[in-house]
Amino acid sequence: MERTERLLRGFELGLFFLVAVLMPFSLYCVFRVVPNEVTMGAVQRIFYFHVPSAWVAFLGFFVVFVSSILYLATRRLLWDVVAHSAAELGVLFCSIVLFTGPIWARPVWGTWWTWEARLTTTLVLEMVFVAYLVLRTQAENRTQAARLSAVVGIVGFLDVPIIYYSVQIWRGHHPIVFKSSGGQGLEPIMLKTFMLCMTTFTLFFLLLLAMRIRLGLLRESVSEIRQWETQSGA
Amino acid sequence: MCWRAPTPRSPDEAPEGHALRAHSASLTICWKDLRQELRTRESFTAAFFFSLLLLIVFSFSFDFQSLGLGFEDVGAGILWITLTFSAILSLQNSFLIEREKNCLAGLSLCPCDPSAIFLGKFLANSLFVLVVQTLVLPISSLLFGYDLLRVLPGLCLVVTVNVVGFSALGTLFAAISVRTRKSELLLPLLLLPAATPIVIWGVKATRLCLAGRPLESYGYLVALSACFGVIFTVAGVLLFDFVMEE
Amino acid sequence: MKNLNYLFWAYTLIWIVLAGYLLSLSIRLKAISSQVRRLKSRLPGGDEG
Repeated sequence: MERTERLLRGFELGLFFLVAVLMPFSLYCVFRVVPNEVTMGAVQRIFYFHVPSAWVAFLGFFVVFVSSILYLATRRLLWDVVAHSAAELGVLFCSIVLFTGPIWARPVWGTWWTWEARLTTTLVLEMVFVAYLVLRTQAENRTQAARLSAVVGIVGFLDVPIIYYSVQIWRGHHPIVFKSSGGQGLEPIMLKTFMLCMTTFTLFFLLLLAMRIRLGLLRESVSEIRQWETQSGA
Repeated sequence: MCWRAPTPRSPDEAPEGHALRAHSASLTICWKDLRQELRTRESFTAAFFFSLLLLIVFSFSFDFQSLGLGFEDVGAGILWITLTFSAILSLQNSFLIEREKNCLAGLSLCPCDPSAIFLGKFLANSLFVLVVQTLVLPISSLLFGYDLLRVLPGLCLVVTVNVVGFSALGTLFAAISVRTRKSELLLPLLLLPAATPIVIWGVKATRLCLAGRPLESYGYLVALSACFGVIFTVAGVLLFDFVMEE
Repeated sequence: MKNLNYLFWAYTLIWIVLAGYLLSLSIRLKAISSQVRRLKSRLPGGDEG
């Protein structure tokens, strides 16, 4: 456990410096470098943080899926701590998507919420993983929490593409928003800024994940020590 | 070669009997639940009257006739909300009964593959919900004045396939939630978001069916629901072992 | 610029949420690290893996 903690601290330090450099640079690019989008104007710049947040939320849920499988296969609590941490971060970034989506939609579509496919999918996905977090608090003991939430984590992630596809069928397609001229797709400078923001957010997610995993592992250490004290005292 | 009676073996040691044992274990558990329900009728009564109450509340909430709308405009939503919530009630009850009678441990100790328990429960839950719907649909036809006989074949297909898919996921989540402290709250919280695809496809297919459209126009939705059912039945079979551990 | 207030509130919200979470994590980490050190110092063998 201590070796893992040391590894995580090193990882955190490296990531912290990278994010400390890239985040201000990303903000500079978003506000000073990229041109205004032709139809939506300045408010389109929300997408440079909105879409990376969505990507990072999905990445978090993927980490939950993989860690849950690894936990059930190995029964090492480390994997459960990773899954719990990733789920918490996934819900956090999903919430960011759900706040920024309506803030973008209001000036562009004239309404806060439109039940369009991707926002609806994100909302449903957030509910799935909020239920995952609630389940953890309602389990009778630590091992049961780990085991049952691992099952929900696996099933929940398997459901992600199905939910997305079903909402697409229900609602039709997400409007294409990345255009600065009449041409197809993103302008090169917009694409570069977008990829920069994606990289920055991914690194930021990894930093928060490393910190949260270390917190979880320290909590396990505290429980272990307390348990040892109780047993040796008795 | 003389015949010898097989000595009792654990399921792992008797490969030729194992598949049959799992198959008969599922049917035994299903029959146990059905027999219990036939004796007490607790779950059926609760689900049926709850469905009826929901239909009554909907008739107050949506006065669609005065708005100039037909039942086919809002009926799919009404039927599916009713079905979803009464199904959750049945699913919850199927495991709550085991917990109340201290049978959860007994189920875990069954000398069969846990997946057989899942399949047995899943089969029983699907049958319960379908039986309730067999009574609720004709009553909804009387209350809301739509011609059930005209849409019966399509509606039966849509409801059956979607109920089976819903029950596959619901049985797994009911088994998970029954082991926690607030199981009655947790099952809807877990199941409703995850079962969104089934609800969406069920509502869409029912709307097309009630509007009198042919099967070709909603057949793909029924096929999608069937795929959902298969995926989550397989997931349940593979993961139920972990849920049943003590 | 049109809709600048929406842009402002979107980014402000993102930063409040992310910075708030980062701060809360740092505070919790610091507190639990010192708790672990205190508990380990009470153990007879000192630092154990």
